[in-house]
Amino acid sequence: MIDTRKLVFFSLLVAMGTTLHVVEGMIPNPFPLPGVKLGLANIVTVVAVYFYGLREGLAVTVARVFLGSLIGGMFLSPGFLLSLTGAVISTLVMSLLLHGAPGFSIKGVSVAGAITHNIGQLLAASLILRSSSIFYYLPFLLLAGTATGMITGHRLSILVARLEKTGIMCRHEG
Amino acid sequence: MPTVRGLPVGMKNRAIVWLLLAGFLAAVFGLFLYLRRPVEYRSEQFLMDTFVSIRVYGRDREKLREAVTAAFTEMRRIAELSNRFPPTGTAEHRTSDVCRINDMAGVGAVRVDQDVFSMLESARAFHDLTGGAFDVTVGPVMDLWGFGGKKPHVPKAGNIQDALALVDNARLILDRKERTAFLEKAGMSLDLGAVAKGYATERAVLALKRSGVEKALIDAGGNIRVLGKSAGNNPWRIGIKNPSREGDILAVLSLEDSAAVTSGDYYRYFESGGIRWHHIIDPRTGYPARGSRSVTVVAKDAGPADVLSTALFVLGPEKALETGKKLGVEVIIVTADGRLLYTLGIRNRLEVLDSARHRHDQG
Amino acid sequence: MTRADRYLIAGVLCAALLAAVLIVFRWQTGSGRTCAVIKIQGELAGIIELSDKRKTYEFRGKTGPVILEVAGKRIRMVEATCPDRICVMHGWIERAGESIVCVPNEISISITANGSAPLDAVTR
Repeated sequence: MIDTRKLVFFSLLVAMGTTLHVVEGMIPNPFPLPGVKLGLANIVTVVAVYFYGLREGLAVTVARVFLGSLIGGMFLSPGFLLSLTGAVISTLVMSLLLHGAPGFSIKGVSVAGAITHNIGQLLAASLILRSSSIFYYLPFLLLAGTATGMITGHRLSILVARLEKTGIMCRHEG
Repeated sequence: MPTVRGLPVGMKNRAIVWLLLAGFLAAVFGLFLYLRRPVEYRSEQFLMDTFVSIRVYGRDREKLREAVTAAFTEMRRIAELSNRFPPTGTAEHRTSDVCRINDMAGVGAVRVDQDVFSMLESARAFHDLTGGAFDVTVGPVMDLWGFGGKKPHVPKAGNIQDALALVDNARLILDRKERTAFLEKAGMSLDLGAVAKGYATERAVLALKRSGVEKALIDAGGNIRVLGKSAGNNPWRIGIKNPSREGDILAVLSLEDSAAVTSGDYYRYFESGGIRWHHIIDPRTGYPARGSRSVTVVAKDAGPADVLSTALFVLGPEKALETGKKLGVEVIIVTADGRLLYTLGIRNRLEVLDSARHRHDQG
Repeated sequence: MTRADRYLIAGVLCAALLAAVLIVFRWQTGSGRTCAVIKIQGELAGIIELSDKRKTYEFRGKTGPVILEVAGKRIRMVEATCPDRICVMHGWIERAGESIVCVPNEISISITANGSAPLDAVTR
């Protein structure tokens, strides 16, 4: 028996994630660094992982990267590969922290997600370019990731608390 | 449930365990990476009248050492077979195929090692391809000039003419089926000086490859052969000397899986009567070739690179560029009047440091 | 924000600092010549000596032509066909260890550490 509620909510998450991904991509990047994004699309990933678990989180992530790239016109481009790698790795790490290490709050998980997203992108880029020179950007990306992670983390903790309060969702136990 | 600061105690301990586990795994991984870090192994030997140095990079020091030993063994073997200088009666003389061929000049054919035969066939091919500018039967003329010995001097013209009569590649008879070599006329002699080093270097690289080495640099007295890239995953940087200025590097090559061999008039010569007489003799005239001061050949295989660096030096700048292009190798030349010429194909890998005077061939 | 969160952020900031220190360590304003290594799609496309003379170079990246400019011992990307032009905005680089990367074009410009060992061997 398919859980209709889960299906609907899941679709909502994918739709929102895709939109956020596309919109994010349209915001011009003020820094001379590749891959600095606000990480808004990460929000749906965290929500999915928090309320449903790793599998659903991965599904949402992969779906929103694919769809977002299709719509944004970047499908199968190197940028797409970077996004995908970063997003998947960050989803795995966030899931590990959310369910396996209860000492972290949503804010911390968000920061961890943001920086692992950036590191994942750097790894993918270094493979594409076959050069390690790109790690020159690492310190900056770590700092940027911490900042964006804290911002989205703050919003996320409010969002998750509200969702829990309404009673519709309850936290998935790892 | 007992709590500490709002968290159930059991869950807090779990967090600590997780962090410790992660830290431990990271340490183990780090140790693993450290043990498998790239190492360099270098070794040098004195071979073929020159200093040969082999540098290899890999992860297992012991395997690298074995690979280099195997490489040197190969080089030593080729060196012994092709050495024409050991005096008669010595053990080295008996094991040298070249000595045996020279001893039997005008007498009979000599069965030789497969590698020696390959070198002789290759020498013949290049003799034909360069219109005779390269000839391994130039031994008698080389002996006249005395470059191998203690007192090189300018021979009398008459003596040179006589010696030239003994220089004739067509009279080196090679029998592939029997694997024999025969110098038809008494007095003829082979000099593999411009062949053996490159050939041996290439055999050494094969030995390294067989042992699984992927990054290496062999410097055989200035004959450079690189395998793969250098340690930092960059191409190897090979300098080209300026013939006019001591210690000055004219240009830098960036090479991967290639050989760079240079023939020049600035390292084996003597001065007499105000003229510099160097050791690269034109087998057609019996005198040192003029026109170029240094010729560097870049090719995939060190054997042809060695032979061609000599042959193209003899041909002079313009013909050298033309022939190099025809044979599919890259050439960099410093002419006698100080110009730097090079084939178009090497342009992307050549960095000319003294950009004052140069012009490149548009071929 | 929990205690673990704080540790995490502190740890990341330390890591960023450490990485920055290591990178700066690799910077050498070497005496002599510095060169920029240009790689396109993983293959070596060129080596450019960073001289004082102003010179432009054109290369072909994955999405189109790119133009590099060298002047005053520095190099920068002047024109690129990538959508974000992050590489162009990066501006000049001059020290060993610094890089400019254009991911859509799969081009990397990196300055090699030339102070210690500019040459691996000399052919003679």
